[in-house]
Amino acid sequence: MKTAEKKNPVAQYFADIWAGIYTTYAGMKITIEYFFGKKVTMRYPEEKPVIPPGHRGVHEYREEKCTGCRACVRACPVDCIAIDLLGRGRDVMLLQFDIDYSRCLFCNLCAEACPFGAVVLGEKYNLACGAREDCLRHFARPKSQEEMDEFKALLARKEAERKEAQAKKDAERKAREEAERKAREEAERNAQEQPEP
Amino acid sequence: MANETTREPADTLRTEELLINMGPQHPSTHGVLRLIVQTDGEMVRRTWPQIGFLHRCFEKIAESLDYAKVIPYTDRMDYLGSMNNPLPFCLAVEKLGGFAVPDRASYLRVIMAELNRIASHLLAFGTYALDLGAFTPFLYGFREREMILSIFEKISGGRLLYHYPRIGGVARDMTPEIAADIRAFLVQMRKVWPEYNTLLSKNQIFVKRTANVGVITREQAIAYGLTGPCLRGSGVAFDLRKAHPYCGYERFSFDVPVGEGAMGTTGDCWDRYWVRMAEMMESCKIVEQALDGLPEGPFFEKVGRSFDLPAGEAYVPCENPRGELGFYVVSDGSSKALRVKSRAPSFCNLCITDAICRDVLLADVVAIIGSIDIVLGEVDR
Amino acid sequence: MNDVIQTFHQSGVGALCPVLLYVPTWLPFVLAYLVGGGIIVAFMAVMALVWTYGERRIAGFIQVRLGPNRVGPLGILQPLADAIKLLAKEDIMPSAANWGLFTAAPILVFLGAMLPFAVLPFSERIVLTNMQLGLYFVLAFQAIEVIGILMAGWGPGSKWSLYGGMRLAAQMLSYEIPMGLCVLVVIFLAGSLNLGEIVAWQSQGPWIFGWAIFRSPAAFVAFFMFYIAGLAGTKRAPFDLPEAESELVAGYHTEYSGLRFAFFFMSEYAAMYVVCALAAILFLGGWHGPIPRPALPENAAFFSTWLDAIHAQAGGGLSLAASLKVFAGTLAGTAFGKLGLTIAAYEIIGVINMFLKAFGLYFVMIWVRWTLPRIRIDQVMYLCLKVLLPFGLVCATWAAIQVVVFP
Repeated sequence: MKTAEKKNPVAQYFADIWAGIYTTYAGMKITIEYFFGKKVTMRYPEEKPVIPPGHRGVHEYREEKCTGCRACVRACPVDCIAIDLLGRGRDVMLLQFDIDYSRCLFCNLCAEACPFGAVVLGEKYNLACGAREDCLRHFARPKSQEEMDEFKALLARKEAERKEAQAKKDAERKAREEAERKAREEAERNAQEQPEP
Repeated sequence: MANETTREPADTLRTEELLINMGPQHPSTHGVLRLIVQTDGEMVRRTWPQIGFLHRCFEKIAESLDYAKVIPYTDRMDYLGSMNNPLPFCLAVEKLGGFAVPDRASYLRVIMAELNRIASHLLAFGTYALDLGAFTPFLYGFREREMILSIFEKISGGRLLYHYPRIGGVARDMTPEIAADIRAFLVQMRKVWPEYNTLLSKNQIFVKRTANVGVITREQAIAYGLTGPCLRGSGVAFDLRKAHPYCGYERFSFDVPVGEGAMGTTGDCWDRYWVRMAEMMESCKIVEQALDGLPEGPFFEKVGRSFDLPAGEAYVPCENPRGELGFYVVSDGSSKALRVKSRAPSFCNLCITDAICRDVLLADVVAIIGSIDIVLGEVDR
Repeated sequence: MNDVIQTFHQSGVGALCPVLLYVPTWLPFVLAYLVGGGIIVAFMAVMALVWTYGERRIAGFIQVRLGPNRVGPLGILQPLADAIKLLAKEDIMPSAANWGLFTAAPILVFLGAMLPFAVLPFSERIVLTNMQLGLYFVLAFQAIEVIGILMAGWGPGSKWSLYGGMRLAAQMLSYEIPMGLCVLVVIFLAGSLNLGEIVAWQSQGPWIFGWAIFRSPAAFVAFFMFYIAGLAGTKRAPFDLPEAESELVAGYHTEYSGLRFAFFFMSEYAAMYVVCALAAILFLGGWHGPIPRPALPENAAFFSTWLDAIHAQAGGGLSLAASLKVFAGTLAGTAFGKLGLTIAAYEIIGVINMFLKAFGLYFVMIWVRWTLPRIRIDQVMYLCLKVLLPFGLVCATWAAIQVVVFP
């Protein structure tokens, strides 16, 4: 291990003084150059920073693309997304799509998990709010009772139509089977009645 | 063991040693570190570092999440090295699961890790200067750091916590615009690095404050398990990127700076500081080589959001800006880890404090802690 | 006194205020000093306030950023906002504090910074008292600050304050010695302790080359040493260990808030000005400076202070009327004719010269603060005792020999 060589103490003394003076001068030269140079301050909020695309900020939610598959809920490490909906499959009405920003990590896993591109982390970054309850942001458009009832009615109608169609298909199938059975019986009887040539 | 400092009325004159609390909130302990210092006048006899103020149960949480979900938590350990933290975890999981990482992903991981090393060392340089009373280099360092953070924002979407290295590769690909930004940054960094040296490293006052202060001998460094610039500052040329290369580091040529006692004694504060400064330049070299040699191809190997890892255990260490960061992952065959143990460099480096802060001045304690460069997020996890 | 009474009787005011008949002789005298003192304190306060803004702006520019730029145009009203903030703060006293010491400390520190203003000239005639022992007065009263600091260290009953107070007392007292030696150089060369006479001695060369720093190499070196010792005495970086934010939170003024802290804050800036002004007067020629002053006619009646002019006007005594007359007359140029205007221009240019130098040195103090790291306390003492003291002795000896050999 190398230690400082023992220089002549008098020479060291004067060398230290000279080093002190010279390095002070060199440092001050640098700072005074910056004093007269361009400043990097960005005068927010008059000048705002340019947010690049792909910045992971506050979520953007496209309700028309969301099918309520809950892939984002499963992907989230901190369980900050809450979903409630009516219907299933292709016919859904989102009643609730809440994100709790007091838990959200902005990790982007929900956006990566969504197969339809309904959840995207956007470029907004300003989240300041006054009360803890305001951290829970609601993204789904609030639905009125009439809308929900209408949708439920629509669902019921669709269910009824589906049942009707299913019933018709069943009836047709039954009729077809009946016809086939009759035709087979007919063929058997004809085979029995015809004498063998 | 030190207990709470007692309040004495100001007019009883006591002459024994003072117990001072450089409490959790203190401008120069880098985070919430409590240092109980026993002083005799201005001389410090002993220090007791107390940690745990930032403990967030990372290791326990990691046992209840799928592997892919643990990565945002690793980001938050050493929040200044968020491109470096997930690397050992990803490598350990990939080792256990037998996932192959594409070449392009390895190169991107290296580029981002080295840029993050520069950013972290810039912050260490700035805050060290701040501790010692030079307020200006901090802001100059942040001007360069801002360039790096903008690059990171473009490529990962975040400015401090990136969630970029993933199991099987990286999150997003690099575009030519980002590559141009990185090259512009390298030019700027090489331009201002000599200015930092003139302003701070060679400054006589700074040298007098840090040379021959807090000397860690080679044997001490190895015995206490120090890693990173603390170890290399004491003359031990051990760098995980050379000793146990990962992510293809063997493809790049760079030097490992080692402390030589240029201004005083080998292993003093100046040496550790200088190792960080020199490492910034070496990282610039690596980034340039990686950018030039970036191969085409996929940047991600699809592993699925939730997968079962074969039972087994793996420990992979990587070179964090602060030292050896290692993750020891034990899997029991399910989709969640059985145990994740993180070996944080700052935690181990902090242990040296008691040994070297003996019979120094109070101002030296500040210099020593700054030169060890701890991040409490890592110490406490 | 008769002059005043007569004037008032003639003007009819006397009829309205018979009490004026009983005004004692010393009253106008005291009033004049009070007004002058008030102007000095006002100047000190305004200057301290303006330079808090200046420091933050300069610091910002050095650090590649803008300083305060929101409050008022270019942030000019920032010191006003700071003052209001400090005044509106709660006055906290730690429960373990010693009330007497805690309260007296800011007052003493403020006194130590303010009193030297009494003898500090702004120009040849603009000075509150032109004492023959002016220089000695300044150095002596700077030491009062040290008592205040010691009280501030012990008073709050906090360990951090104690550390700061002890360090600072050691630092300030030690640096008084090299400061005194550097001042001794100028005293030898100029031959007087009177600040006005020292500047007059420096006006003997062509343009600026009569300045002390050009008159002797000892004075040249002593100027830089005086400046460094002054930096240390006013606890400015790189000697700001006592208020080292990153180590001791805020050192000896950790426990002070509100108006008490404002006192400390202002007295630091005032003490800085005293050191800069003293350096300008002793070494850089004071008000005799780069901007040449108009030549005064041969038979100009030179008064060393306003008070002498008042004496002359009032015929040996003192009267408020005489002082008002002199003041108004000089400004309007009617009392002494053209001479009055010339004297006014003379003085104003002198003040400008003085401010150029003092504020230039002030800027350098700020520049140095934001460039250099902090020096450790043992290195501070090393610098004082092993570097400045020997060099100071050498300079003082050189000056003494120079005066004897080259009178």
